[in-house]
Amino acid sequence: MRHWPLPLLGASLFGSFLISVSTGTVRIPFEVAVAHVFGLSSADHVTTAVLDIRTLRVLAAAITGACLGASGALLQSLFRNPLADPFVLGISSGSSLAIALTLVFGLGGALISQYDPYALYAAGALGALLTSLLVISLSSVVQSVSSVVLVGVMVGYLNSGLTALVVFLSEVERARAFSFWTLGSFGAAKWSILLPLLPVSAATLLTMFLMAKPLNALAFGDETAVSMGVRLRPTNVATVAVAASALSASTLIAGPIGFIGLASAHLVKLALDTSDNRVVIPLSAVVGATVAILSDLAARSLLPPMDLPVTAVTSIFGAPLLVFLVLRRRGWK
Amino acid sequence: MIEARALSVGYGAKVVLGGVELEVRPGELTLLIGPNASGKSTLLKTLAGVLRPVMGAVYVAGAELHRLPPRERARRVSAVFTGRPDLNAMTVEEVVAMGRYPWTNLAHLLSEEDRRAVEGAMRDAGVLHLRHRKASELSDGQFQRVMIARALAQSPRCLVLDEPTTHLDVRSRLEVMGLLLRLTRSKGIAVIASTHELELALRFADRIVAILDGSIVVRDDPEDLLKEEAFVRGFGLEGELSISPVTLSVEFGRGSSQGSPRVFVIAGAGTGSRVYRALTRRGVRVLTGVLHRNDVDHHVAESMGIEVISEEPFNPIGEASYSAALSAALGSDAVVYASPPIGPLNRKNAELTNELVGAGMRVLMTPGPSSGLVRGAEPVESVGMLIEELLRPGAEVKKAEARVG
Repeated sequence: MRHWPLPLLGASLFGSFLISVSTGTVRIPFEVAVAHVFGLSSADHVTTAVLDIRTLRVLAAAITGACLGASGALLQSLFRNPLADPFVLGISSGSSLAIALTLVFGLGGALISQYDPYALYAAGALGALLTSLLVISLSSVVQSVSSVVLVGVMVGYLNSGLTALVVFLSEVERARAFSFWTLGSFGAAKWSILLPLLPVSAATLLTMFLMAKPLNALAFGDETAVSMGVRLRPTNVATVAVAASALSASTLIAGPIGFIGLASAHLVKLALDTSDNRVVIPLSAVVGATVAILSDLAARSLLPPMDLPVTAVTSIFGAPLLVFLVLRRRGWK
Repeated sequence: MIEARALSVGYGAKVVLGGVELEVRPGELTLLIGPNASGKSTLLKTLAGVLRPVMGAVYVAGAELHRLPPRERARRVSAVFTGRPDLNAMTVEEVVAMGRYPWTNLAHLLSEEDRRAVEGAMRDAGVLHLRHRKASELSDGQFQRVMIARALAQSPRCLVLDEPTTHLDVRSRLEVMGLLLRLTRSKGIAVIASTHELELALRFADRIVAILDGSIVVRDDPEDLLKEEAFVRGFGLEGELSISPVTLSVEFGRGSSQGSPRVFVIAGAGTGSRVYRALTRRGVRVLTGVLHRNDVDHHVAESMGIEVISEEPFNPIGEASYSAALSAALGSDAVVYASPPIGPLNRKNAELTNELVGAGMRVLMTPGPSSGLVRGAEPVESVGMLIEELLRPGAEVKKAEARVG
């Protein structure tokens, strides 16, 4: 394991947070933004209001990114597959379907403004959990790793199809709202959603860290892991449950956001040259948060005042970067 | 240490192997052999506590294995299963340290004792020098020893291994078997391992467990196993293949006594074995003599189904066996003198050879302790050249001319 990138990863999270808070259409000097973040604000009301909005948005991105990054690491380890991520396994689409059902049919009334964050969170979590359990139970029958991914992709298609059907059958206004939500954005973040999710996300990330030891053992194969003392079924169920919970939280805050879940763990493994989940899981959260903050920054700075879909930004910039890193590593070997 | 009582193993309710009564004792290496799909792996997984018994129970040091909490179970029994998991970035030391799983806290932080156990396990398995290497860079033999080190780091009382020598080269196979045997002796742990390799199993095992016709046969002495008809059938040691209870070698060529040409081999004290093997492999019909019944060549020849003219142990070669050998040799197409050590008891073999040369037989002689005692034989440098010489087109003609002369 390489140790020198460790402080770098921490610093880039912190740095990106500060830069993101101080950047935007309203010009605010960097030192004013930093002072505000540290609670030493002496700025005027307007500036404070702008900074509050930005802090909320950046915090939303950080939480979302952390949840996505860590659950990606978790799922890749559980499925022993570098391609396993919430999207590939259909989990995100399960969450989307559940939220679409709730938004479009379930709650009625005024759409985005009055919706109950707990109800939506519960729906998203339930959708993610049910999809995960479906994928897990199907994949326990098919055994082989490529079949697991195939099953996940197919379940994803199924969910997407159903979601499309739900949206098609709903009223135009609600469908539009849902479509906007599926593009993924941190712009719609609200303290009313974020605050209840903070303890949930924190607990989830902590639980994920505790899964690191059994997940490390699972790298040796199920049977060897059991012979080392791993309780296989509880580990599988807990891992999926905790990943699904984190994914639901992130989906609820920002809609479905791709790439971060897949890429963060790979970035950590490439940077630190380790597959120890005790390191990979927490740092995937750190890297996921950093990537999400920077993506959001790019999404709102590239074509101001337009707010681009975050998924577009993460994919367009992230995918070539990851390919480059992987190729460079191959070249070194 | 591990005891199986009225054990039936299988998956779900399906029994693969039933009625298992078995004890794996501390300080002993028990090897499990059996045809493919006979339930070896299923049995081992059950003994390791990974698979629940369909019926019956497994006890480890008195405690029923499958009632123990996983952690307690893993402190008693550790296992090495087949397959090479992808441990990409892990170093050997990290891999071995995973063996401390049932001893460490939730964060798997190693105590001083854990570190000592990991280091000791690496030393015992002979992988200490590889500790900083990546697991993915190891050869198959090294990797297997690292997996054994990992299992040892678990500080178990019993070690269960499924096919630890499969896919390894010859040297690594022997190293792994030697390692297992050493571990039983130095650590007093009970080891049970399955293997495909009959000869290796018969040589290394303190006890042999064979799965024959769906039931288990346990023998402390491999030789007892070789007498069982079910064993001979189960391992296909019929027809051309055979195994000698003395040399424990699997031999090819039994039943090839119809071959042509016929070659009479004069040997003894192991000088004949390689000649027998080389000739029977090529379909040559071999006869040999005079051999004492306690001679290693006698055992090998017998297990290969070669016709032997015998003498009782520790008696000088008598008239009867001498003349039998003489007429058998004269009826052959050629004679090979394998230059055995000659002493008072088998002096007549040298005389026999000289008599055959005198009678005009073609006698080829491989180098050995008594090459100098024989006059008029054609020396050949090696068994390879001997084969070449015997099977060369035209060899027959030369012999016929010699006879006439």
